[in-house]
Amino acid sequence: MYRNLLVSTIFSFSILTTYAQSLPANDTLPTRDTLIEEFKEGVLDNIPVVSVDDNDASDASSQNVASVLTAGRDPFFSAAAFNWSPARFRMRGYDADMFTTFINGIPMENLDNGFTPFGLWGGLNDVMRNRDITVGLRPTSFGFGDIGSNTNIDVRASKQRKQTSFSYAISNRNYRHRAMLTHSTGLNKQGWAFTFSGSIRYADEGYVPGTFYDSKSYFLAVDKLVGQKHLFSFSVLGAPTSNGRQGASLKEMQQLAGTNFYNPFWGYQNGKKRNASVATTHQPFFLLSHEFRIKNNARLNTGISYSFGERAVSALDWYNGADPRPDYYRYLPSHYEEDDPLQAAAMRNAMSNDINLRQIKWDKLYLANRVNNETIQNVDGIAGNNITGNRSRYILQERVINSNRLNFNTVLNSQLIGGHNFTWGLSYQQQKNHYFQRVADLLGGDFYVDLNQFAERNFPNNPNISQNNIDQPNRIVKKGDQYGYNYNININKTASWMQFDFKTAKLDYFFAAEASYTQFWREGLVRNGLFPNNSFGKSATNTFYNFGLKGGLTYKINGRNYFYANAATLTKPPFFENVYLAPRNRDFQQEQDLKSVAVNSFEGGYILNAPNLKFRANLYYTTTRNDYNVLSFFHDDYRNFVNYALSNINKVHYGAELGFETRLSSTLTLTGAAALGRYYFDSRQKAFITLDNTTAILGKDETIYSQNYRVPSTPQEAYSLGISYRSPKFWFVNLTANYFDQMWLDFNPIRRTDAAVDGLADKSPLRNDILRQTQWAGQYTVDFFGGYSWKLPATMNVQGKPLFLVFNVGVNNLLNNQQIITGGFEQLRFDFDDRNINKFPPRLFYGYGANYFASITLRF
Amino acid sequence: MKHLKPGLFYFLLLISGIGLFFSCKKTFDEPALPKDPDLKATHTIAQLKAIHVEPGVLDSIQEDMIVSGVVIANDKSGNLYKQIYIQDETGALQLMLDASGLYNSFPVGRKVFVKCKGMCVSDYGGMIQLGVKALTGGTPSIQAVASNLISEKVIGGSLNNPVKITEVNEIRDLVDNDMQDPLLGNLIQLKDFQFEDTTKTYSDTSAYKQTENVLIKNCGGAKINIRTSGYSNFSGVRVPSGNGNLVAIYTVYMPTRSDKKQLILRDTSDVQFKGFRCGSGPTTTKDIAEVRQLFSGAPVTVTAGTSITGIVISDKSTANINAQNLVLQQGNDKAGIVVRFTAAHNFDLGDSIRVNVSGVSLSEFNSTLQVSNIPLENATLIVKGKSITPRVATIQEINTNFETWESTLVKIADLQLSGGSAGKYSGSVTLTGTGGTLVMFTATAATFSSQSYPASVKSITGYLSQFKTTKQIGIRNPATDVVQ
Repeated sequence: MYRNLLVSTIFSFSILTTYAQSLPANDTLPTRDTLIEEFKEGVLDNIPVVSVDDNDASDASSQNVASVLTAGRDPFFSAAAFNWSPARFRMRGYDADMFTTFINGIPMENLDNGFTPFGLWGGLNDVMRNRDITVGLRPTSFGFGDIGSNTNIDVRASKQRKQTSFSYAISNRNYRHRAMLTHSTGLNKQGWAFTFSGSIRYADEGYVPGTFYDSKSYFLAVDKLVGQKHLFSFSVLGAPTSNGRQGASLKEMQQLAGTNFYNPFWGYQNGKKRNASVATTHQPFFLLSHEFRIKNNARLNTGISYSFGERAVSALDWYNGADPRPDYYRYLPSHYEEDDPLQAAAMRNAMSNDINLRQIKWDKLYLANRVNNETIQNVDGIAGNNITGNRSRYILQERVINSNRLNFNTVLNSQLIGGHNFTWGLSYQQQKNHYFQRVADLLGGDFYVDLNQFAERNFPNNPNISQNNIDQPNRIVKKGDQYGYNYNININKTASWMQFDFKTAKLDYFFAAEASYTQFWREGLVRNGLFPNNSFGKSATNTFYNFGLKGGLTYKINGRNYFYANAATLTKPPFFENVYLAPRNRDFQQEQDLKSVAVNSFEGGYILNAPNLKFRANLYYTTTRNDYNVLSFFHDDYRNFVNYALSNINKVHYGAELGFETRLSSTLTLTGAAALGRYYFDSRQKAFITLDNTTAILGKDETIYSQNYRVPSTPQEAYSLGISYRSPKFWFVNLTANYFDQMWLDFNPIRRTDAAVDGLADKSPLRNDILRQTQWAGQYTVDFFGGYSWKLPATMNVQGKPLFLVFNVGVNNLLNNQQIITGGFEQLRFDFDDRNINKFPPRLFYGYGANYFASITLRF
Repeated sequence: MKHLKPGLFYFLLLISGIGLFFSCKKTFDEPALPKDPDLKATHTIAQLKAIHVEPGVLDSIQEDMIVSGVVIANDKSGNLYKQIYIQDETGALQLMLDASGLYNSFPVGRKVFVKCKGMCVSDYGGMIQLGVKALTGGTPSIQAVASNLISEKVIGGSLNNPVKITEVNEIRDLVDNDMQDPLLGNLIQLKDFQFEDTTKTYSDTSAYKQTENVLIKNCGGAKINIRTSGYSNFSGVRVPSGNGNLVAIYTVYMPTRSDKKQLILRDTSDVQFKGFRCGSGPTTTKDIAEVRQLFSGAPVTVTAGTSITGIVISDKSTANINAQNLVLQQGNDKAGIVVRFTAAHNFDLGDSIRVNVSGVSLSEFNSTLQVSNIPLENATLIVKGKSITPRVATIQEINTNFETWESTLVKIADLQLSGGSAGKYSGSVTLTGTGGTLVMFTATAATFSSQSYPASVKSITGYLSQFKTTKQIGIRNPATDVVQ
C-alpha cells in the first residue's frame, strides 16, 4: 500500500458498447446534463490531494485530484466521483496505479508509480470534455488498460466544441479564485482547427491555514486535416503551479489549536505566514498525433508525447540543531505529563493561547544561522582551503524530481465483417527521473555543508563516512546548489496488445491479450561515504516480462436489460520505489529476483436502462499478489531513517456496487448509489529492516502479521441518496445525502510483529490494543448544488451566436461535519520500552467542513 | 486562418498579461537581528540567589522578579546538557532549560531576561540552579523549564554583549563553602597551569560516557580538577601537554570531603596550554641573591623562565639535613638558598647543579628562605666534585650580615663549645667566640649526632640557617668541619 494519498477518482460511466467518438454537433447550447457535469468538474478540480509522509520520503505524486472524467450519467459513478471523493473514496479500494489515462491515445501514467499526474494539466477542464471512459474490465478502443478504469481524453483542436468561454469562480477550498478563458475555432473549411485555453487558480490562503495556491495553466492545440484521411494534431499543455501544503498532524496539536485543520508546516515570518512545505511543479507536455482513416472501417491512431520539467517540494533541513517541527513530540505537553504534570498543564495553557508556540518559529531558525560562525577546513578536499562564515544550521531544502517522459502509442481499430471489431496496439514508454536535493534558502546563513549528519553521529571518527560526495568532500553549498542524494531512475516499457470484440443479436463478447517488457535501473550520480561501492553508477537492470488476458461477455435480454461478466488476469512489474530499499544512498533492492505482481479480477452484473429508471448492480472480486512496499520514517532514538522493506503483500477486494436513477416526474429525479466493499490484506508480509545511514540490518525476514487487516484510507462502504429538480426554465437544484463507513487507519507493520507483543498474555487488553487496527466511526455529509443558465437577449449576440451566462453554485458538506477522517497513518515508531501505543499517536487528515464553489461563465 | 490571428493575438496577450501579474515571486523579508526587549531587571542575580539559603530546599519565587544577565556558557560542545549559565555584575546563575540546541538561541554573549515568577531556586551540591518545581509522582523536585515554555520565561535580547572573566591568582582563594559566592558558576581564568597526566583524554570515550575528572596543577603545586561529560564533543581529545592559561566555569560539589572545587570547560579553546611545562623550557640563570630579593615577607612565585645554579654545600650522606632538601651556594662570596624538592634527592656534597625554579614558591620555612615543592626533574647535575671556599668570619660579623649570608658556607675560628645534651652533637650546641654566641644545630637523625663534641676548637665550617628567631649553623661532617 503506497503511502501517498493521491485520490484517483477517475470514474465515470461508459456507454456499454464501444462506439468511436463522433464529432460533436455544432451547438453551443449546453444541455442540462452537461451543465451539471461541467460544474462537478470545476468543483472536483479544487479538491486537494494531501501527500502523506511521516518524514521526507520522496514524493512523486501530483498535487491535484482528477476531476470528474465523466460525461455520462451513470448514477453510481457519478456519486462515486463527485459526492464521495471528499471522503477519499477509492473505487473498489484500488490504489491509483490501477487506473490508466490516455490523452489523444497516448498513455500518460508515470512509470515510477503508475499514478496519472493530473496536476500537470489542472485547470484545463474546458478542453478535456471529450472523454472515453471504460470502467472495470470492459474493453476499450485505445489500450489494454488496467482493472480499475481506463480513460482516453481527446484534446485535439478539431474535436473541441467551437466556442469561446470565459469563466470566473470563487471557492474556499485549496484555491479561492479561478479564471478560465477558452477559445476553440472548430475545424474550418481549410482543414485547420485551433484551440487555446488558459486558467489561473489562486488563493492567498486556502481552507487550511498556511496553504496558498498559485497556478497558471495553458493549452494550445492545432489540428490540420489533410485530405479526407489524415488528421494531424499538435498540442502543448502545462500547469506551472506552486502551493503551500498541509501536513498530517496529531490529535493533541489539533486540540491545542482548536481545529482539525491544524497545519504544522507554517509559521509567521515578519508578520506573514510562511509555509515550509511548498510544492512547485512545471512539467509541460507536447503531444503530436496522427489519425489515419485507412478505410471507412479502419483507423490507425499514432501519437507521441514528450514531457520534461521538475517537481520540487520544499522542507526544512537541519544540521545539528534542535528539531524545528512544531509538533515534535518533545515540544508537546504530553511529553511532560508523566514527570511534570504542573508544567504539562502550563504548556497546554500557553500553547492554546499563543499560535506562535504551535507553528514554525522562523525567527529562531534565522537567529541560529546568524550566530553560528564557523570555519570549514579543507573544502572540496583541497588542503588548506578553509572557508569561514555563518554556517547555516537550518535551511529550506527542495527535494526535486526532474522528469523526462517519452510516450509513444499506435493503435489500429478495424471493423471486421459482421460488425465485429479488431484492435491492435503497440506502445513504448520511457521515463527518466532525476532525484536530487537542492538548497532553496539559507535562512540568513552564508553557506551549508554537504554532509550526512546521521552518519557523522554514528561514526564520529571517520571523516569520509559522513560525506555525501566523497569525490568532493566538505563541499560548501549555497542557494540553488545540489547537495545530498543525487541519482537517476530509468524505466522503459514496451507493450503490445490486441483485442477482438464480437457482437451478435443477444450476446457481445470480447477477448484481449497484452504482452509487455519493462526494465528499470538506478544510476547514482554521487559516490557517498556510507556505501562507496554501491552508490555511484549504474545498478543491475531489473527486467520483467508481463502478460495480461481479459475477456467477457454481455447478454442482452432486450434493449434495456443486460447481464454481463468479465474477467482478467495480468501481471505487473513492481514499482521501483517499492523495490529499492534506500535509493537515496544505495542501490540495494528487496531481492535479486523480483517477482511481478499478479492480479486477478472478476466482475459481473446487471444493467437496466429504461426511460424512467436506470439501475445497475455489479459484483466484483479481485486479488493482487506478491507486491512490495518500502516505508521510511525518522527514528528519534537512532536519530536516523529506518526503512521497512515489505514483501509478499497480497490483497483481496470484493464487493457490490449499486446505483439507480428514477424520474419521479418530468422535473424531479431521485438517484441513489451504494458501494459495499471489503478490502483486506491477505497475507503475512515479510519485512527487511535497515537503517538508512549505516550498513546495519535491524531485522531480516521479520514476519508481519498483517493477515485480514483492512485496506486503509478509503471508506469501504459508501451510500448516497439524492434528489434533483430541473426546471424547464433552465435552472436546477440538487440535494444529496451521503454516508461513509468502514474507514480504517493505515497501520504500522512493526506493531504487528512477534517483538511488539512479546511476553504479553494472549487475551490481555494491552496485546489487543497493540494489535488491533483503528476504525473510524461512520460519517455523513449533505451536498447541495444548483445552477442557472441564462440566454442573453439576441441583441447581445456575438458574431451571430447567442450569448449564455451560466451560474453554478455548490456547497459540499452543508452540515459542516468536521470529523471526517480522510486519511492519515499510524506513526511508524513504536515504543518498545513501555509498549505505550499513545506515545507516538497517529497523524490524521480531516476532510473539509462546509465548503463552496460558485462560478459564472460567459459563453458564445 | 485570417480571422484566427487577431483573436489569437488578443487572447494570448490577455492571458500572458494576467500570468505575468501573478508570476512575480516575492521573496520573504528576513527578520531583523534581535535587540533588547522592553524589560528591566528588578533584581540582581545575587539577590535572586540570596533567596536560597538552605541546601536542598526548593524555594519558589512568588513575586514578580526579573533578572537579566549575559549568557556565558551553553550546550554547544555537549559538555553542558539542558542548561545555560548567565552572569551579571553580582554573580552567575545556572538556568535549567529542557531543550537541546540551546546554543542556537542563547549564544555566548546574548543578553537574556528571566521572568522568575513561578520558578524555583534550589541547588545541586551547593551550585544554585533556577528551574521549575515539579511533582513527580507526588515527590517534589526541581525540573528544567519545559521546551515550549522557555520563550515565556527567558526572553532573549541583544547579541555580542561583553562577557566578564575573573582572573584568579590562587586556587585557595576560591570559596567553596558558601552557595552565595559570586564566583560560583562564573567564568574564571587561571594562569600557568598544566595537566598532570598528559596521556589522558578529557573524558570517558567508552560507551558508558561517564563524567570524568582530569587534574591540573601549577608550578607552585596548587591543583584543581576539570570535570567533563562523556557526551561532550571533546571527550576523546587528548589533553594538551603544555602549560598556560585556562578559562572555565567555577563550580563546587560540596558534599565531597575534599576537593570540593571543580572546573567545567565550555570547549577546548578555553584551554590555552601552549607554553613550557613547569621546569622545562628556556630559562635565564639568575643570581640566587636576585631570587632572594623577590621575597618580601609573604610567599611568592618565582617568575617563569628562571633557574639558579650553585654548588651543593649540604651533605645528604650525613643526614644532618632533610633528605628532600639541600643548601645551594651560587659561588664563593655569593648568596645561597635552601632548595626543597618534592622527594628525596640524589645530589651529593660538591655537586654543581642547575635548578629550574620557574613558577616555584619562594617562602620562609621557620624563617629560613627556601624555594620549595620543586620536582626532581627540575634540577640537573652539571659536574661533580666542586667546592666552595668558606667565608672566614667572626660571630659578630655573622650576626650583622646574617640575612645576606644565610645558606652560605662560613668558617669561624676559635670557638668554645657548650650545651647540647650530654656533650653530644645532637640538638643545639652553643658556640662561643669573638663577639657573641651562635647555635650549632644537629639533627637527631644525623650520623654523628651521638658523637661527643670537643670543648674547644680551632675552627668550625658550616652553613648558616635560621630557626624562627634563632640563628644557627649546621655542619656537614665533624671530621671535615670541626678542626681541633
